[in-house]
Amino acid sequence: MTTLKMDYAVEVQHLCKDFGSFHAVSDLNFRIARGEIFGLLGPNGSGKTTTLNMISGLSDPTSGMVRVFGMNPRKQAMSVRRMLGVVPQETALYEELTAQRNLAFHAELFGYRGRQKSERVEAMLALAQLQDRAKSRVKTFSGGMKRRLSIGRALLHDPWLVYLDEPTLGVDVQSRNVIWDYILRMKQEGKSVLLTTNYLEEANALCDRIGILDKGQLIAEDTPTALKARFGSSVLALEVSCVSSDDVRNRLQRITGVQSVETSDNRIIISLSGISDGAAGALVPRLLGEVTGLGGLIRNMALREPSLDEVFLSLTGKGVRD
Amino acid sequence: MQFQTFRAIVKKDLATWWRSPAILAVTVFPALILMLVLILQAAAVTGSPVAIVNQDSGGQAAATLQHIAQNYDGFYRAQVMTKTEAEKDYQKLTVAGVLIIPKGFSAEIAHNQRPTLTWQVRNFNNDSANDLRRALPDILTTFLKSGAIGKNPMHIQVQEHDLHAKDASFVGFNMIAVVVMLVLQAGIVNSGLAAVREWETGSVKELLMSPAWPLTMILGKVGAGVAASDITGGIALIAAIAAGIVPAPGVGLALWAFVIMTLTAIVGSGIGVLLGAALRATERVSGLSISLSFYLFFLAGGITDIAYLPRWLQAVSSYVPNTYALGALRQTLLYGSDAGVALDAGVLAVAGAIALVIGIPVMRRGLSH
Repeated sequence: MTTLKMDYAVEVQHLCKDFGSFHAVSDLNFRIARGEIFGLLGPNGSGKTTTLNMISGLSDPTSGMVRVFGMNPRKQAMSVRRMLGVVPQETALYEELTAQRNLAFHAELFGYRGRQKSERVEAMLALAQLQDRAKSRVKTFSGGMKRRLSIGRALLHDPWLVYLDEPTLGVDVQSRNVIWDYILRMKQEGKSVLLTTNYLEEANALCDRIGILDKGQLIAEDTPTALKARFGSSVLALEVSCVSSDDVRNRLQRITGVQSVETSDNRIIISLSGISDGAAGALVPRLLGEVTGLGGLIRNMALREPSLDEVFLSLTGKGVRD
Repeated sequence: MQFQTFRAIVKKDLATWWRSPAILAVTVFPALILMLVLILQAAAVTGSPVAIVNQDSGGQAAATLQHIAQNYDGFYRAQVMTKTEAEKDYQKLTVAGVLIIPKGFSAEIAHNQRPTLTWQVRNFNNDSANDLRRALPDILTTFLKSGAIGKNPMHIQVQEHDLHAKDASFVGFNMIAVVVMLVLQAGIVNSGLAAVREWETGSVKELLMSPAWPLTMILGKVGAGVAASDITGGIALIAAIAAGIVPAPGVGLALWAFVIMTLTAIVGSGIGVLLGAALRATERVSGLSISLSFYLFFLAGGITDIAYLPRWLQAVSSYVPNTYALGALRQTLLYGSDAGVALDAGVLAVAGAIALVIGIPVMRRGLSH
């Protein structure tokens, strides 16, 4: 791989995109370092695809700046495209053609010929673990196989930045693990990865940093650990009966060390902040005592780390898949 | 021009077309159905042979007349039989007519007498009955000119000057129209659906994220459409030549025919790219392309010569590119001439350029959105 002088794979400054009076993206700022896996999370319609289209050079920003390895993706489109590998959500393979022919076509588009083309195609078939199905038509493949082939295609021209849109959407657990391995391997090879996903577990497992988009604005950007810490150091999850959830919430929110209390049906999620493990050990019996003191019957309880889902919910007011 | 990229897109689109039974069906079925209709139509107006009964078996003049009648084109492999057999077949409707050369025919001719021929015509269908009725004077004219009668007693000589040097069969005449329809349909469908498929499957993103220029992508689609059209039309034409429906052309005329087919394919592919970019749905492009091909087929004189169309339709047909494709292919393949073909090719080239000039920007706009 050629050595790049630029520090950032992607640099986005004050990026805006309007469609008429609708602001799809507003004043977006973030950077993706070389060799970093950056996750862009957000509910449907939050502006993820619009942002990615501007980074890919497929659409012009209304205002602001995008740079990919220091280059303008619209004005230096040909150079940027050679550096960018894309795994679209819909896989976008030619289903009537074989896996080998799909890869060969991509290789030809990127100027590979002869032996070099054959070698790259073979290498990507091996990477996608599809050598034995090289001559099979893609329409006979499972969702996971198609996704693997799509990743192989994106990596065929050895890009420096790989953008994956929902890479494990609709694939089985086994394929998901294989895809996660690919993504981590890309990072090891020094490639930068821009990932969008609705699976927060996936973002947590793979991403160095996460940006959360909501209504076209970046409302949070940090490492998964730091984002979770914003929600509290620990979460106490209770399943209770025989008590009013409003009464419980009002009582618990007054206690020092409780950051927030969320209730739904008979479940109570209490986030605890600014307390050490030892302090949590003292706080938990007190919280349980308050619940039982109100006549509540505790059927189940768990003390755990906060999840990204909870972080997302607290920041956007809705689940990532809503 | 990125030639290697252009080649890659053409190869990919052709491979996809070849492996897509639905697209092949949309390409070929309308033309096949039309061909079937034309063959059935031809069978309806032709069909049964004519029976010839020669009761003057020893006479020279009778033998000559029998020979002329037996080889007459419009008698559909006339059969010589006895009067009893002929009457029986006529009743069973297996012969369309019975021509009886009476006993003593040759002797009466030799003595300047006027023998009487008996001519029975099955008149179920006015068209075919009139064809048979018109056939007899034609046969007798040939007979008189043959010298079998000595000096021709008629004082009127008829000299025929035909529009074309060769006659064309009804099926062959219409087969050329089917080939033109097939070429145009293949161009529209393949370029149109090749474009639509990229949007429907999302693979347009792969193309747009590659170093290929938009113009190369569009020309690649047009190139694949032209190649698919030439292959489809070429196979149909070779089959028609092999079946004897269309006469085999010489090398020069075959080259002209190829040029005309390719120009027609460019027109079709340009229209296809335009439809694909504008409609962006397989069903809409397939449906519209079939309707369009049929309209253009009829407007260009596919089923009958343009001269038989109403005047206002004749005026419309002069603006239809098929008209020129059809005229040029009939000229080269049926009538064995290249007269006026260069002009037809020029008109088709202009039509192809117009189709591309409109289609390419529409698709470019589609790609940029």
